[in-house]
Amino acid sequence: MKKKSILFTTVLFLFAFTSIFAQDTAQLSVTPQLVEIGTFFDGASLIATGTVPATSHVVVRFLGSSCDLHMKQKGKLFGIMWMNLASLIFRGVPNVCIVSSAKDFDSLAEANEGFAVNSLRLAGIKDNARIESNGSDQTKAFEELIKLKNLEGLYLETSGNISYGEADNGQKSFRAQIHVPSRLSPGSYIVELTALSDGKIVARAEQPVKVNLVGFPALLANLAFGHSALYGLLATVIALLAGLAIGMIFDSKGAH
Amino acid sequence: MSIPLNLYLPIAGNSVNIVAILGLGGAVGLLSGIFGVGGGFLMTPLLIMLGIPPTVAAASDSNQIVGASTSGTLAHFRLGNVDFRMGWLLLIGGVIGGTGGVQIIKILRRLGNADFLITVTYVLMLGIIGSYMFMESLQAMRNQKAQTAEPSKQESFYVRTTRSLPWQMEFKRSGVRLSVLMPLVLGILVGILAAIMGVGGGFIMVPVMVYLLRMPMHVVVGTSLFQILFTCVNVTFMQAWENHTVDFILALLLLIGSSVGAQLGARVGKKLHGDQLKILLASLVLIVMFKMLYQLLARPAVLLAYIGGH
Repeated sequence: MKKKSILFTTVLFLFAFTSIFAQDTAQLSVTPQLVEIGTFFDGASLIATGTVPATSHVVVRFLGSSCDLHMKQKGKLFGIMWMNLASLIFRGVPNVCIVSSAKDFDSLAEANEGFAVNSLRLAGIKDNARIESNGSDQTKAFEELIKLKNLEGLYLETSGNISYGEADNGQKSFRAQIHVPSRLSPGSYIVELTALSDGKIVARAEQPVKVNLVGFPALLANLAFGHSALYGLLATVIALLAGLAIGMIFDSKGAH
Repeated sequence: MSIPLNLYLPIAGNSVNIVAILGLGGAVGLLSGIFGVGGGFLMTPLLIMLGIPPTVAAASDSNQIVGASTSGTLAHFRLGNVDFRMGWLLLIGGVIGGTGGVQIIKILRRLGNADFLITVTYVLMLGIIGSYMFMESLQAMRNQKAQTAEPSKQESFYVRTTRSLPWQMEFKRSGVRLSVLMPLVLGILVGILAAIMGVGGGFIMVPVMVYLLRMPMHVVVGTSLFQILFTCVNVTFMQAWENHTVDFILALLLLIGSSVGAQLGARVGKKLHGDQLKILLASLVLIVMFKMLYQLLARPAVLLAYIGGH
């Protein structure tokens, strides 16, 4: 019994060691690690740099936290008007997913039938998500979700915005630029690096990125969501005063 | 050093181009100034087209109208053009209607139908008002023969109905005698529409006062502004408190744009012929209506919508 236990521990140790070693083959650092949404925020650019095995290709993902989305699927009412009909809940989908690749995804997917690459692409989100619906076509619903998030700029696939440096000691450096949209909610995000070789994942690394509201937007959001009655009062009083001021400036008789 | 052109709106959860919003406010204000009618019924759909979530667009537009109608009400109050008795009754109705409208929006947002209701209400109101204005101005431009016969028939039926209502009251400033129920009920209806559509109700209230309450035009304008101001104060507060959909930075930008536009428009309007202006406005209203109708009938780009607004 004791021998078995020692053998199990040794195997476990070796497995853990090789995993750590495999993880170590990819290095990742991201700047900035804190994105601040201020008054003039219009999206941000993150720079991811590091090293990966020299023969591999890099896929970098900017991922938001997993969430549940309560949605309505549009259908035709009386066969004429489009309106919200079926209810859907998407469980375990990231609120943001921006996938960047050095090469275009189709050429990366050639080897190993593209399983690894496809799991990293937007379509791969479905593998870890669950859809609860009252009778709607789930595959179509998921395609529509990707389309909707794509229009919002929150689900994107881009290629060619990653450059490589010279190979050295079996490793090469890379530099990826990730543009995150202005429609970003405050919260915790991760930048995930995956190195692929012959259609297989050979190394992985990730870094956290925090997004915070600062300055005036933070003050406003705090007021609007935390003290909504005061915010409503201020919004009306400020509009009244602004109307009076503008009226005085123009000596307005006012059109309505 | 470049001037930042984008402003982040934490309530809408997105950034907007300041110049686009000021320009939109200016353009709608210009039309307001030229035609002498409210810009709210144009402002909200245009904001939706610019990518502002419909519920935030409607609520922020109400906030903008608070500012826009303040200066107008003050000016008309100084001129003695406000029938306070009528105004207060319309206002009480408007507050009840506005509060009810906010609750309707709240329930519909949970069901995911708020945006649909806003679009349908717009299509109906823009269609009715646009067609009416178009026909009226077309008739006025040709001749006024057809106009005289039609209202006289309606008048006898209408007068009989209104006289049979209880609680008749004298409205001295307007020079009319009416049941208290008339302004109260009409105020409720306009209040509900104002809450749902994010408009001050001016373009509904003015025809209501002229054709249904039989008030003289100069008193109509002042009293309508007075009523709209208070209705929109109520709607803005309720939307901010209950639904968190008021973005007052967006409202202020629109207000600055629309005030400047309205001043320029008033100057331009004086130089143009009245009936031509009316038919141009009617055409504009109908174009917006057809755009919204197309959205209802054409297959949407995405067949999914969030429940609970944006």
